[in-house]
Amino acid sequence: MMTSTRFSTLRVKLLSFKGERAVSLFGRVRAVDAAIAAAPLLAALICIGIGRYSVSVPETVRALMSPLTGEEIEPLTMSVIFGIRLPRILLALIVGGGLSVAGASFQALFSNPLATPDTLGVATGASFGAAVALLMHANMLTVQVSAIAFGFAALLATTSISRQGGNNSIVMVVLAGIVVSALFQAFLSLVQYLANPEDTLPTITYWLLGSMAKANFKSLARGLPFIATGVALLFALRWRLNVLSLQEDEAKSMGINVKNTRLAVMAASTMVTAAGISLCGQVGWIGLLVPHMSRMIYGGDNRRVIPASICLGGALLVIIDTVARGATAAEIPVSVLTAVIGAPFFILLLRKTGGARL
Amino acid sequence: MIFAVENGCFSFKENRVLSDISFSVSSGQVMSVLGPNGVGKTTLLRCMMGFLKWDSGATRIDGRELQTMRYGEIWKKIAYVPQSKNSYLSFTAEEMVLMGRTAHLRTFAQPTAEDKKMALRSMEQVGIARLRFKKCNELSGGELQMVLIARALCASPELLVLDEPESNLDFKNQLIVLETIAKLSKESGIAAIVNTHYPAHALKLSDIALILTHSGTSYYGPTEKIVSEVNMRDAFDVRVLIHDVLFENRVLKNVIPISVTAKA
Repeated sequence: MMTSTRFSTLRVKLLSFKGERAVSLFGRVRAVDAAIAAAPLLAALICIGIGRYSVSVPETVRALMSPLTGEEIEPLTMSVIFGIRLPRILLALIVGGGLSVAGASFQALFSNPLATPDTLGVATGASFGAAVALLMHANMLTVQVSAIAFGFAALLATTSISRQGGNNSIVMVVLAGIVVSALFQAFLSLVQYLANPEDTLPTITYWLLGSMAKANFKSLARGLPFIATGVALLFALRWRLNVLSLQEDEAKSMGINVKNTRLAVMAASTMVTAAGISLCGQVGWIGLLVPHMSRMIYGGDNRRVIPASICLGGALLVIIDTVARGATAAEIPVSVLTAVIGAPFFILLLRKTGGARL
Repeated sequence: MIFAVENGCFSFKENRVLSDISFSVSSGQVMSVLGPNGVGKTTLLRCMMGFLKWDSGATRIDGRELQTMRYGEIWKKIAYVPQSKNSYLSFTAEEMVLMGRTAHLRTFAQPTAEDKKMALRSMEQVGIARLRFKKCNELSGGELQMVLIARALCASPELLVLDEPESNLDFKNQLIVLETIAKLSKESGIAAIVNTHYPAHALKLSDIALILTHSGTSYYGPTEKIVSEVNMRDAFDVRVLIHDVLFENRVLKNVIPISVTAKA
């Protein structure tokens, strides 16, 4: 890819400028690492103050620190920041980072640049799972578990369809994902058709639309354990993700249990995706955009792509969500914005890579 | 170490592919596997390394059956160099070589500075340290093959298994690969099993040879005895002439294909 080549030449030039010793001491360019690591925090601090009631960054910091420092802050500022915006920003951070890391892991797992929670059918499967649980008036924990279970079932269906005949080509995986997605979409329609128009249908429909606006600390606390566990597992397995992207025999010959490692990665990525969907509905494209941005900066090594995806994904979704709530008087759905950015990018990627591997 | 296959049999559905294969390779020895296209050379490698299960028979490493060993144990001793297809990922050569260390790492561990040093050392050993920061999908076929060999070495194995390492390479790169294998077995005492299409390479490189034939019989023994005009004709249906050439006080073996023979 052109951009990545340009980045790596830049890196090599900087390295030779610094000299050999600097290379061994500091590794690669640190300014980029620092900027990426700081991005989520910076984005959150700036975006928390943006909106109809605007708060400056220093004021935001003072307000956020006030429970510790005991400083007197205007009650309106406090209630806007803590009551409305903080949970929403945290939700965007967690879901953005989670979806990105799930996307990066799926791409490594299938060694397929187009594999994402959306293209693999995981997202639709999870939506169906959640809708079924809502139809049965289940509690929110059951909704989440059901979303995870059906997301995983959809993923297994996609993998087994695309593996027929032994070849697992990039396009075949995406096609299988479309088929599975369509199937679960149909089931989802059936659920809506069966739902009681007086109570469950509005709940399901409203929930399916998805939005960050309903964010509160209680729902965050429900989803966070799943997302955090999944992300932590994927982060811990980041070296093995490199190995998994090799061909099967080759990966086995690196001395890892390919089947179990694959299952662990699939389970963790599905858990993150499904829990994210349970919190704020389907937010598409993030899992495609962010890992590719990370790869343009760092190359293919998941030891860097995974942490970079977590940071960039969190920051990006915070920014997109802020645009969604702040750009016009009425709120624009986040998934509309991510699609507007993501779809052209997907086409570009498809044309550029053709049938090439990751 | 002694790597041995005892009476290995394998069928694909109804078709018997490998029947009653036995051989043994010990440290410092190189074994060539020869045979016509589709006879099951790659299948043999896959069976003996446990990627496919023998229908009957077994692979043993120092007397222990492969089936009873853990992944980590097996792949600290054996390293596999697959056929290099140019469809590689955007890892740098160094990252690719470093993957060879995985068998020595715990599940959640990351490679250490020590591992990185070993990766560099094995790249130097096969003469590709200059490729360190190049991406695998920008390498030539020969360079990629050397990267895969370096990756295998990085695992500090006792046995290298190479699947047609010199096909798709030009004249010079073929020689580099062959000489690298020969050097490794002589200097480091590493055993090697090499699938090859070239009888001349088998004669040049290996101590022992195994020829697979479509009829299911196989020839196994010292290379110079096994790679003979009679056996080649039986296995490949090709009449060949094998003769010695004297060059600077060395006897070199030459294999000249004459004509395709009709099946008896």
